[in-house]
Parts: sequence; C-alpha cells; structure tokens
Amino acid sequence: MNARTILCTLAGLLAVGFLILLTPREVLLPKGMVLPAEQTRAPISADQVTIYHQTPQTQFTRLANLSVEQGFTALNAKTKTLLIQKIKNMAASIGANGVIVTLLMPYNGVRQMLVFRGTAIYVPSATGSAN
Amino acid sequence: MSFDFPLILLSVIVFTGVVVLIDFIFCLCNHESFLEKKKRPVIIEYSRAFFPVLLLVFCIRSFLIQPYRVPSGSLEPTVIPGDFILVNQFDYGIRFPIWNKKLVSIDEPKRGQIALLPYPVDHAITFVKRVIGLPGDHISYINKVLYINGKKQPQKFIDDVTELNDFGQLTTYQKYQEDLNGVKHDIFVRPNTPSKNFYNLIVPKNDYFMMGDNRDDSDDSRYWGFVPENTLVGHALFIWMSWDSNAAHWYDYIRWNRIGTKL
Repeated sequence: MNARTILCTLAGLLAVGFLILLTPREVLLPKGMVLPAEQTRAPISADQVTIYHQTPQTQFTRLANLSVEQGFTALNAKTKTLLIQKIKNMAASIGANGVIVTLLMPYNGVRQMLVFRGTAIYVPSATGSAN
Repeated sequence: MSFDFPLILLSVIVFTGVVVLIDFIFCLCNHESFLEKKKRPVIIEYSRAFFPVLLLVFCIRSFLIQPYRVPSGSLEPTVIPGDFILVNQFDYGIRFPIWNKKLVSIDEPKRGQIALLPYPVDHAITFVKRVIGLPGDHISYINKVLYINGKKQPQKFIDDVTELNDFGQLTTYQKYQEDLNGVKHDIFVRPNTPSKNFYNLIVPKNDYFMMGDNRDDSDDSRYWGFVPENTLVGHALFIWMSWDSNAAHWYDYIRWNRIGTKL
C-alpha cells in the first residue's frame, strides 16, 4: 500500500468520523396525547396531580384518556421520572388533579419502550397525597 | 441500536468522495491525468467507481422518491403488510436527511394523504399513517366515527372481513368506506372493541393529527401525539410491489392484483 492510498484512506475515515460526530443524537423523550372527554377544566399546576394505581373510592369526573410512549436503552429511575412528569404535565394541562394508571409496562416491539395508558380525572375532594 | 440506512449510505458517500478528492489532488500535484485509464489501488479504484452511483442513489432517495416496505397492518385495508410503496419525497419540501433541515418549501400535507413520518418516540423508525387533522382543526371521534370541525365524516358499510392480524390471530373486522372531506378510502373497525371516544381535540399550529385506517389496531397520533410539519417525510404515491411471505405456493408470493394501486 503506497502513501497515496494510505493518505486517501485516512482522509476518508477522518471525514466519516466528522460526519458521525456532527450527526444529531436523538434524545429519547416521552411522547403522548391527551384525548379529551366532553368535559374539560382550566389548567392547574403539575404538582397538584396525584397518580392513582387503583380507581379512587371517592367521586370523580373523567376528563381525558392519556397515552404516553417513551423509548429507552436502559430502564432506570430517570426514565420513569421523565414519564411520570410528562403524565402529570399532560393531566395538569386539562385541569385534571388525578391520573388512574390503566397500563404501565415495558414493551419490546419495534423498539424498547415504556408504554403508559391511563385516565385523567378530577377529584373534587383530592388532598394531593400521592398513592 | 437502530439500522439507520441514510446515515450508512451518506457515510459511504463521504468516504468514497474524500478518497476521490484526495486522489484528484494527487493527480494535479503529479501532473497526471485524472481520467486516464490505468490500474489503481483497490480503495481508489472502487471509490472512483462507486462514488457517483451512490451519490445519485442518495439524491434520488432523499429528494425525489424512495421505496418503503410496509411492515404492519395499521393502514389495512388500504395498505397491507408486505406492500412496497413509492413515496414522493419532495412534495412536503426538499429537506436534507439525517439533519432533517428543510431546504425548499413546496407544498403542505393535505387531508387524506398517506404520509411517511419518523416515529416520534424513536426517529430511526419510519411510520406510515393517514393525515386526518390539519393545523387548527377540531377533531372528535365518537362511536368510531370521525367529526372534523363539527362535520361528521360519513361511513358506508361494505363487508365483514376475517383475517390474521399482526400477532397472527384471526380477527373479524367491519370494512367501511369513509368519506374524509371528499377523500374516499376504506377503513377497518373491530365491532367488539370499545370506542375510545374523544371530543374537540384541537390540532396545534404547524402540527398534524395522523391515524391508521385500521382504526382499532393502529399505533398513531392517539397514542404518541401530533406530528410536526417539519418531520413529515413525504406522501405515498402507489404500490409498486406486494409480497405475501405467508403464501402457500411460490407462485403466489407476489400479489399481482395490488401492484400499481394508487394511494
């Protein structure tokens, strides 16, 4: 292999290295949707939203169906925190002070994802204590 | 790690392009003819041969048309697994792949078009869905019927259809023809699944609401949200090949009747 070939190859590899460095890295953020029911309310703060793992025994109004999907490479506390914060923000945007979790599970389909399905509710007597 | 074909293709183009460029500079410095036919080292010879071809393929795929194989049944009955569709890459604007920067604006997505988009949860995966809601639209979905800006999108029952779903289970669907503000297309609904009603969903500015035609078996905007206009890749033109990998005989692998179907 002569100097010309070595130089051409090194320059080519260097250029590919630069290309890969310049390629934007995708940050896996949770994506979701709020599908509103007939009744909606004014937005509230996300801090006021309580997550319920079982249907609360008190009276409540159903405000929306919530869905969130989040890709991950390693399922850790940060992934779950991001997902929960997204759920709370979405619920708060329609004035829901509670979210009933219907489904929260990792899914290995087209990619590794954390899938959330739930219902955003308004509980008139909610005290703000998390379940 | 996802297989990112455009990045791999561009990497090979950059490598071969730089090899050809450096070789060209060497030719200039040594007063050699760049176009002279003579034996060259393998890397330089192959780079010279492949660079223009790969560049042409990249330009056609990125800026004109690209083929896409449909892997799932979320757009059934319009598009079925194994269909290969040809996608218009420039109608929604010419954009540079990988960085997804729009270079030239041409047209906007229209209601009823079948569009390609990166899966919002992971952009390395491409989804194909129908454009249902345009920016500013108010969308409701009540008892499996769409209402756009308060107007009911009429459905006409066609037939009951039983077929295998994506998980290999026999499923009975009701096939309807939906009139989406003048765009008539077929949809599937499952009579035994509850309707996930929603009311007065407002599509934000510059965003689109996408759904699959297989209404009860589609992972779409109802689950991962609106799709920004600048991420839509292009819209489907027609089916150019349809491959049935579950066919009983080799001569049934190609679904001839689907080839050429306009979308």
